[in-house]
Amino acid sequence: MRSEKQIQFIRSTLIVLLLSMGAVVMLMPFYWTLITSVKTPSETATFPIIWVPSKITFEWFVKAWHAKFPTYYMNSVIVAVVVVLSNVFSSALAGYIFAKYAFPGKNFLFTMVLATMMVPFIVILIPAYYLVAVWMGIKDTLWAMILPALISPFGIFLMRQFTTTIPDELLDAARIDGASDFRTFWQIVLPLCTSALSALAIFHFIWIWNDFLWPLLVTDSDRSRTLPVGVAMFALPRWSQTNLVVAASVLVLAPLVIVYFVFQRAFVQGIVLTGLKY
Amino acid sequence: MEAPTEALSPREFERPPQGAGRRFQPFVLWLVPILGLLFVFSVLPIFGSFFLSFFDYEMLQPLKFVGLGNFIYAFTQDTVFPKTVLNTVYFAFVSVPISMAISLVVAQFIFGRRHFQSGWRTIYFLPVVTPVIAITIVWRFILQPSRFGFLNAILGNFGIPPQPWIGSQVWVIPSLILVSVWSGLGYNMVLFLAGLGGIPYSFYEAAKIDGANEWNMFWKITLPMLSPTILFTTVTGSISALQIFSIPYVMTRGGPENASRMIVMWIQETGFSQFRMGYASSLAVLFFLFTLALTFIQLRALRTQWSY
Repeated sequence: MRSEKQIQFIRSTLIVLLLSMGAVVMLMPFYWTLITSVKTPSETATFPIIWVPSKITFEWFVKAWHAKFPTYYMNSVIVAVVVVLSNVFSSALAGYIFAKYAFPGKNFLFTMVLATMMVPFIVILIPAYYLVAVWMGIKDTLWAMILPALISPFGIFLMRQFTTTIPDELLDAARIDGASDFRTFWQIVLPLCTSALSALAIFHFIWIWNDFLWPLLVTDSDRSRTLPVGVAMFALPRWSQTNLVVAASVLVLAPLVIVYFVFQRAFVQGIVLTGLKY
Repeated sequence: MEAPTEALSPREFERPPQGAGRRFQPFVLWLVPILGLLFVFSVLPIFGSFFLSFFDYEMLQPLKFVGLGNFIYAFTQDTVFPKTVLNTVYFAFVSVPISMAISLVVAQFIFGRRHFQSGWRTIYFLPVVTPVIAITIVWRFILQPSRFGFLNAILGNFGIPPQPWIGSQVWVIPSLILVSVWSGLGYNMVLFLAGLGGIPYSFYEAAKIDGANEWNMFWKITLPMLSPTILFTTVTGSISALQIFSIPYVMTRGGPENASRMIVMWIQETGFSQFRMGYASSLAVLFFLFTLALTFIQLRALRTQWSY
């Protein structure tokens, strides 16, 4: 009869084996992307597969980069930075006011915030488009992507839950010392919320950086396209040029993958804390 | 008679919320720009959708009231809409349970590891942060129907003949499910890992003393204790699966022959390619009611299942 220890060893070996097989499946598309972006066309779609290319070329990256990618990067960065900063600031401020102030209509307004959180984006798509494209006339500008995303009902909800836990005595103490309302918020409340705020910032950054449907509809030209729309428009007429299109998607993948590996822990904790799908 | 009793009610002695002593605090006015923007870009459009759904409307042309005409048209004459509903439901109801099951197993496996735990987590979570569009472009090549497609070439190594994948009406939705499960399971896994960390270890110790084996403990302790997480991931996962757009938009454009056209793609197409914005709004309203009903049913069904 096998001892308890042996069974335990067999079990954990089996689990590691299964996890490794899963990991291969998870990483394989990335490996394929990487080798295809530097392969020559003759080695690209072959049977059997050439796992290690005999000749490495960077011409696909150079070609893809010159197809307006610097503009897409700029647009994506501008939109993401403005939206994330605005979301973090406005969510903290509104959440704090909802948590710690009394005013008429508070419950009604907070219910309104919650209700907008529940509505899928596609439901408001057409009126929102009408508003932006016809009434405001800001179609095909970065404003069309920035303005509707400046305020996040989910962020307000999250920050209200978070600031409720701040003890009132602390805020009273600041007030007695003569701090204004805004100073209390800026110097007492904000520093206490850094973990929630960084989670919110990461969450919104991934969301706005990857957003596709809305930017697809409100952009018409390269001058306002963000990376996801830019790369999709680049790929759609060029499906036959495998290496070029894959190199272009590497240009889109790489920044987030690098940022992810650097701030890996913060990313995962951010997801757990915010717990919302993007 | 009534005034004194009110004055003596216990509420009076509770600590009033901050600032309740004064009538109105000007600081609250910060909410005006914040909620104003939210109102303009999120609340008004909700009413706008319901309003437009009763009209025939093409951009820059006068509205024409049609009552319930759009809704009737959707179910009687629109041949594509029912197909997109079936496709979307098929996709969501298969991909969500598969993704949940796999991520639960992976989370359970990773949770028990003493070494390299965060390493495993990093690998499985990676697709979640990578831009959907870029990864979908990559998968489109991997799933190419010819025998030189990457997946077919791998299968070829095992002697399996090439499969048509996104080229066939039968395989196209399973292909989309494959991509979305692959890219989304890390998200559920991380939430399950957090849930597993919240289960007190003493529960398992007590069960072990009572002679329970691993299998029993999983079904009788782990699963019921994870039920809030499972409820949350099922509801949010279903809502976002029903809204799938980017993956089929890039990978199949709805083809072959509408076999992978989803509801959101159809709303986008009727509204922005055919410019029937009133009709597209009524489809959006139908979609909204459908997701609301589904969420309600899921909350009901899953809440009663485990009441610990």
